[in-house]
Amino acid sequence: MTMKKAIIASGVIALLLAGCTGKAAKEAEKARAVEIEQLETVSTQIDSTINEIDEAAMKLDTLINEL
Amino acid sequence: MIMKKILSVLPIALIIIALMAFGGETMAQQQGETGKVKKEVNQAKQKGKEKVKEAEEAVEKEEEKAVEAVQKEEEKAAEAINKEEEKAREAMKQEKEKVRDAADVKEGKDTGKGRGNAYGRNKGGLEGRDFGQARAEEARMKNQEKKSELDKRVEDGEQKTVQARERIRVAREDLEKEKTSKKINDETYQQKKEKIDNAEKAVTDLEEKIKKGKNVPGEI
Repeated sequence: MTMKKAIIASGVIALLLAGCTGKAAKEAEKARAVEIEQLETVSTQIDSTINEIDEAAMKLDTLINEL
Repeated sequence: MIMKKILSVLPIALIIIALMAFGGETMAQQQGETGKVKKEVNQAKQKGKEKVKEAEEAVEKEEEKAVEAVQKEEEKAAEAINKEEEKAREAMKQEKEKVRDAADVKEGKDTGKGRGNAYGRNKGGLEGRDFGQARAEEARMKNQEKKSELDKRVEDGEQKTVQARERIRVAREDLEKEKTSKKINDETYQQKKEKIDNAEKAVTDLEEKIKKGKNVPGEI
């Protein structure tokens, strides 16, 4: 009887642990996905800023050479 | 007797007095003329000096322009070399990746390319959490590379704005001098002024972009 109870209790604990771990893993995965998305957004932003700087520098070069 | 003597001496004295008077006049005239000549010579000398100064200034300006032109050319050449180096580096990277991919394919590994960014699938031998971590790490690395590239652009841009501001200042000064000395007419002055103003606007524009570049967040 006691053995049965112990087995059931361990089963429940195992299930609970598995559930919690799975949930934590999902949360971590979600957080990572958000991080990757943010990094990619910033990378795109940086790319566009680099392009803008390049264009402005080129324009300035042209106008300075005309002086 | 005395009267006779006086009468005989008188014409000689008169002649001497007349000669002295005439001599004095001619001396004065000569002195006056030499004074004039000296003045003219001095004026000519001054004019000559001024011309020499002007010529020297013109030569200095030409030299400055030539030095600036050489500096510009050097900068352009350096930029071109840097760009070529970057291109070569990128090409090398791509080639390496290609070779690695080809080797992976030969070994029967899945490179994970061309399969989209879905999570949880088998990607390059990695699954689930490992794949997510690898992808995050890759994104971080890429972000850092971009950031350092941006920093370089910002630094170069700042140098460029400083040089451009100086160039504009010199151009404006030269233009005002030309206007004051009436070497150029109003129309030319306006045209040159417009060019300088446009260049100044372009500098301000570049400064704004640089400011924007500095405000881009580096780390998340």
